[in-house]
Amino acid sequence: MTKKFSLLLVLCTLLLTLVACTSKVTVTFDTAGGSQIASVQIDAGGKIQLPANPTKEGYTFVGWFVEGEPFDGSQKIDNNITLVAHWKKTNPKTLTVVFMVDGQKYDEKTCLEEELLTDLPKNPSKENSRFVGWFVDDNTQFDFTKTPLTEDLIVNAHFDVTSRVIVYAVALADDFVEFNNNRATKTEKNTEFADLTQSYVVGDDNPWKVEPHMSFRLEDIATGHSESTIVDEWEYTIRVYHYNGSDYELLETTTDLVDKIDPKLCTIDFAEKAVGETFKIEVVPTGLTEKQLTNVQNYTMVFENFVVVDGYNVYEAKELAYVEYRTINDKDCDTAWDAFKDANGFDKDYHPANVILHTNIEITASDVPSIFFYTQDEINSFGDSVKNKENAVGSMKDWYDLYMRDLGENENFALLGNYYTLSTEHLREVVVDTDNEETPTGDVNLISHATLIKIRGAATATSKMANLHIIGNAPRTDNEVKSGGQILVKVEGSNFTAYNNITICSFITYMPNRTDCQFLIEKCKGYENFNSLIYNWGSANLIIKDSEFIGAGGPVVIQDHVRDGDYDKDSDVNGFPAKAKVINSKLESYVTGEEGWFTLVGASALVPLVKNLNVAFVANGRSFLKNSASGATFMNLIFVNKSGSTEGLTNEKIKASFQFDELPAFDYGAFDGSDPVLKNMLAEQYKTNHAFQTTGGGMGYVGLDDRGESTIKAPNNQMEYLLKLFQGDYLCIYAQNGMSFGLQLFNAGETYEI
Amino acid sequence: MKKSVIITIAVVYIFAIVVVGFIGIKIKAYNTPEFVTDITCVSDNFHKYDPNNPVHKKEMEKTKNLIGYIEEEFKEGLKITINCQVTPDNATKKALTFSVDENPAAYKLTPTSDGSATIEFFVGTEVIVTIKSTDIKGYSIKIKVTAFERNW
Repeated sequence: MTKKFSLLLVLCTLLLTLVACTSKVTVTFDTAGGSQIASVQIDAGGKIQLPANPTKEGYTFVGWFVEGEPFDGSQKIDNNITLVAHWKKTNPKTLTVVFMVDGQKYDEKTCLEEELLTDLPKNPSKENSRFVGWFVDDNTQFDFTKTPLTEDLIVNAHFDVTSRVIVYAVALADDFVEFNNNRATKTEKNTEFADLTQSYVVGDDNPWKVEPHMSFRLEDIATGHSESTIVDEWEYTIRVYHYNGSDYELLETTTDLVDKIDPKLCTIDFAEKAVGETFKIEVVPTGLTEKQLTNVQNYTMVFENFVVVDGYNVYEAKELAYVEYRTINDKDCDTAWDAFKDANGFDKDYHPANVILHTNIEITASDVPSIFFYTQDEINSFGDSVKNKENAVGSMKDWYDLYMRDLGENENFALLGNYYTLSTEHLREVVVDTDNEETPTGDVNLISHATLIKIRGAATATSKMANLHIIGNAPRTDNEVKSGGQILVKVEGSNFTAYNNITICSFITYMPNRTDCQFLIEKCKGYENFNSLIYNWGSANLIIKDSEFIGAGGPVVIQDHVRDGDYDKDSDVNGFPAKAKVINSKLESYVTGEEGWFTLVGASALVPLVKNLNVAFVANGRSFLKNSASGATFMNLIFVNKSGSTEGLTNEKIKASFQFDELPAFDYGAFDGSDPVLKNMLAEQYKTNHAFQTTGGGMGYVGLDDRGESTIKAPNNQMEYLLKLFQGDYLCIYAQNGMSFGLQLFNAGETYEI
Repeated sequence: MKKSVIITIAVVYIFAIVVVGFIGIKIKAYNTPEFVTDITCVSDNFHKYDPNNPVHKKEMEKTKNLIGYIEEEFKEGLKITINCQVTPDNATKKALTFSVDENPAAYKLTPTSDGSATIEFFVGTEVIVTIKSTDIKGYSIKIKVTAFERNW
């Protein structure tokens, strides 16, 4: 039995082995639309002899693929498989795929028909969003990795918003806040404008910026966390209201008072018809949430009571190029300015009547043509006369006027400050004088003639500087370099008005320069100049009204008589005396005599002279000197009358008139001979003796008494003049050095608090 | 005027010329004011803007003279104090003024006696504070102060 069983077992095993060795696998051919190929069976583990390539009209057979991988018949087949034919178009078209992002074409690629586009563009990015993919419509994403192209395609980028920008706070524009602060009362009165009632003015020639001060938060949508962020561009709703005399009326969208409102730039361009009219604006940002809209007034900026004028709105220092318009070839400065305007996109042929500041401006050397400052080559050409060449390079040229405006008949020009600050503090001073010599360090012997603004014009023209806080580059200091600082404004013609300005630290602030036109300084304040605050060169119509000038480095006002022949203008007047009237104004210099100006002009001898003469007055209870608590002795040197011409002692040199309010003028009688006593006294005594005149009606001169001793004598022995000599608030000394100068008279023993 | 008085004046006058001419009178030059050239905020919670940080750089470009910020969570009664110092140390006028765009419903600015200022917030909002020197040059800086409250 056991033998039979074993034999049976062996036979079964052999039979099973035989069956195993002969199993088959089926290979199926999927021709994907090509000619049919029947399936074949091969032994499992064997290789297939691939049939002839199938055919398909219009296509070229590429090869067989199994599950996306190429099959070339070299692989052993263990299981049933399906071979898939891959085809490519025999003459495929080139298809175009356009990639769009937010409606804008982002990229474009080409691909052969029925192939996969593999050269995809870089994924676009968008602030606060995550790129999802490319979509053919709102819901269908195109999978470039799997889907061959069959036609031209346009796809759009879809993003998921990950964060959003929120308007957090809206406040008045920074420059409007600055305007309000500047036009406010101050504890320190010398920083407070005299007139706090002037309206904000806006020009109609270019757009006015009204963007509020915006605060944004960037919120993460998933977490709700937010942080402060900055947004480059936003959109606003801007409403303009016109004042009709009693109320503000909202203007319609189309109005002849407004040329254009730009909601993205947040600007308003007023029309010419708006000139002279008063307006109000409301500006609200878009994008407020529903909750914020319930308190929309908290997100609305309101600015009212501003007036439109004919003019140009200035936001940067370079735009002050529109102040400049000189009609003559002036040391090539005219062509330099034309080139500067071209280079900066300014219109050379546009000369606005008003140039209006809308922010604080500082003028630096790069904001004006380079012709005004010395180059290395120019300094080198001066040779040894300029010792410190390195210092001189980049310094300002003397006698150059940075901005010049020539005005024709009946033409007007104004620089309107809107209470903002105009600074030239960091402009280089003049260090090379007209003899092309450099001022040696330590010497104060350079008198600057460089000017920030010069105005020239017809007698019918008018010019104005108003509502400006101006900081110059020449403070009242021992630093001799500051004698090279700038003159702020020099007017050679046109009726000029300086109104409601605060000016500090100029070499000279206001200079009527041989002009017969009115030069009015009204409601102005000026402080801390290196030189005088006002320099009147041969101009007969200077008026200082309701103003305050304190802290000159020398006299507050210098009046410089112009001798006939010194000026080439045709005139039959024998010289051009300077004449000034001071109305309700405070003028104080408080100098000790050691200030730079005294050394600069060689007036040091003035100090001991004044002090000597003061002794006689002290004996009569008056003085023109004050002591401070620190022990310094000051004199209030208000004006000096002099003549710029170098000649001997002549009456011409003291020819000038200076009048305080309606008090008797200090007047040599040059103008109307109204005081023959003064005129005769000076005619007889001047050249040999000092003489005095006070606003109390007093007069006298230093002469000899019967015993031959020095005394103060009365003119024509009229003692009433002598008795009044110690009365009044102001004294004029007609000095033998060819100058007359005005001092304030105090009661003896008064002290001065700085 | 009596003759004796006139003689007295003359004598004094001549004497003074001699005395002054030889001895002179002691004088001192006018003390040039030292103007403020910089203002810095020294509050503990103040953060100065970093010009290398792109967001900070944009903030400073958008608002002139803006130097930094203070930000705190808004809560009822929130008061933020701003302390500043001037440069140079010997500035003639060291006092500063603090000013904001007035918004009484949102906040109130109160200068203190020690030269600083306190802002009391009534709602969550932001305010730009201008700090200015009181000398005639009027150097100024701005600081952004935020009382943060989710108001949307």
